[in-house]
Amino acid sequence: MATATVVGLGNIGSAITTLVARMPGITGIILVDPDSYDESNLATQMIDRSALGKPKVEVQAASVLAINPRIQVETFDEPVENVPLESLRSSVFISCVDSRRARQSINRIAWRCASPWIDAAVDAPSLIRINAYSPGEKAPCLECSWDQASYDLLEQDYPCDAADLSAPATMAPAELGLLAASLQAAELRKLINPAPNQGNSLVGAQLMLDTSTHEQYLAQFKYTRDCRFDHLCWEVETVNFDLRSSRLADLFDAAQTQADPVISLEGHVFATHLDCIACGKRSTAGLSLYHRLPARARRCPCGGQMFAPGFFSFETLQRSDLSPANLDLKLTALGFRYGDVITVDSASSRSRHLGIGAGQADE
Amino acid sequence: MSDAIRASWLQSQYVEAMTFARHSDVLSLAPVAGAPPYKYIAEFRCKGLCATSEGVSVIDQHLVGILFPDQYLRRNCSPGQILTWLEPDTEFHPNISPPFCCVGHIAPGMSLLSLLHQLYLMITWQRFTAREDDALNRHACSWARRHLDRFPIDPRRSMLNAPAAQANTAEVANHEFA
Repeated sequence: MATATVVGLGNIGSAITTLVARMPGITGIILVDPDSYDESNLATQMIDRSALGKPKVEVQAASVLAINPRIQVETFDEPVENVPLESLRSSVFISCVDSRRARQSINRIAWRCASPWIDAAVDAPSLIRINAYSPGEKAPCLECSWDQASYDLLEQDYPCDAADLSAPATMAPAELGLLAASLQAAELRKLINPAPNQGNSLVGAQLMLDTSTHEQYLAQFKYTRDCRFDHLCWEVETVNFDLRSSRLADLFDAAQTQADPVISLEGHVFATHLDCIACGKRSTAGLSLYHRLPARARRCPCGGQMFAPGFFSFETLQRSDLSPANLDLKLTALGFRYGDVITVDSASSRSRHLGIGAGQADE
Repeated sequence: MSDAIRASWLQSQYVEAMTFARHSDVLSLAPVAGAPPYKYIAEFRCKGLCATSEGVSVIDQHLVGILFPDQYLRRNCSPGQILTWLEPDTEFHPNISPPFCCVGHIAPGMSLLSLLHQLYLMITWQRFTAREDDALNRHACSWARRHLDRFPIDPRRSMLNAPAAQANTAEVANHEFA
């Protein structure tokens, strides 16, 4: 019995969901995409007019259940970076995204969960690329093959313009996405149901296919000692909390360490106040996870975007630095969600990873 | 990010930038957190502009906070996460709206010295955006287009004192962090 997390439900992702739904052994599927379908998607994605204007996750969840009503489907219509790690955990991650930044996030998430991931990409008019990775301390990851130029190409949001981090639509033909999805599904089948007659897995390699020349290329990845990614798979200890009544101090108590513990939520920063980029208005919302603030809290009444200036934000919280009032804050008020994994560091012991009430439904 | 890779990178940034600052009559750099430091306050003693009730006047002290987030070598962090304009809060420049400032693209792993140089060029109006749709301070942007003859406000191309480029890095490099 296996589960799959599909991130990105566009050209490739809209095709693979129905293939996954039909695959024997798949009992659950997690769908992640922050967008909705629009008119321009009709030509390149596996949808019909009834999908227009609807969240992609909602449309694809309905397609999956129409094929296999017994499959358990969970959806997240938000960027994958914002979804709690334990809520994404599955046997295999399937990446159908169109930005380096999102791909880099999926690589990190898959490693933390110690689950293999299969990445697919298309480049109009004729190229398809499938990569597969299996996490391990010395296993090749996405970033092992990156040089500085690759990092330079990562998408960046600027405070000086209205940041739109969504990558431009690939506009690759639907058949290319469908073919990439089929190849991805074939690799998924090998991973969840390894059998001698299924051939070799693509793990640790890349398959490139050019439909214009019918040529294919297979390249092996190599682990790089100087890779900028730490390659750590996490052992997550589940700690049950009622987020509405538990306080930040309880989180520190759960760390059960003698030394002054430091906690962090990977990929997130804690902000104490926000400033409007347009009018300069300052809002003192109190300590909270910036990316978990509701959209309205990050929008100034003047219409400008409210940002947390880096110098006054914190990637970690140390108990001894916090006021009693901050320690008394409820975890929901801070922005924590069920499934978040808190990293606890202290001078006296190695890092621990505490999953908040994993298995409970998010509120 | 591997702790060892990040620590080694931070150490090299510290050595390079502190050595540079010791030989500069424009720049002072104060590490404020971390060993090796990941957070600095940079003070620039050069001519820039600030808004006053009478209009615009020249000032010669500017403070910027610089923070290298944990994933700085891997992720394209927002310039707003890395740079925080501290003083004066009346700084007048198309690319500055305290506490925000925008030096353009900051690639993952861009050196501290490069960031300081970009900031210097910006403060002295050797670099600014003339596009209002790209500006943090649109008023400064339109003002700049009417006063192009005034730029740069500070004409020094380099932050270094005369021949200090041959600076000896040993004393800084040998500094051991706990």
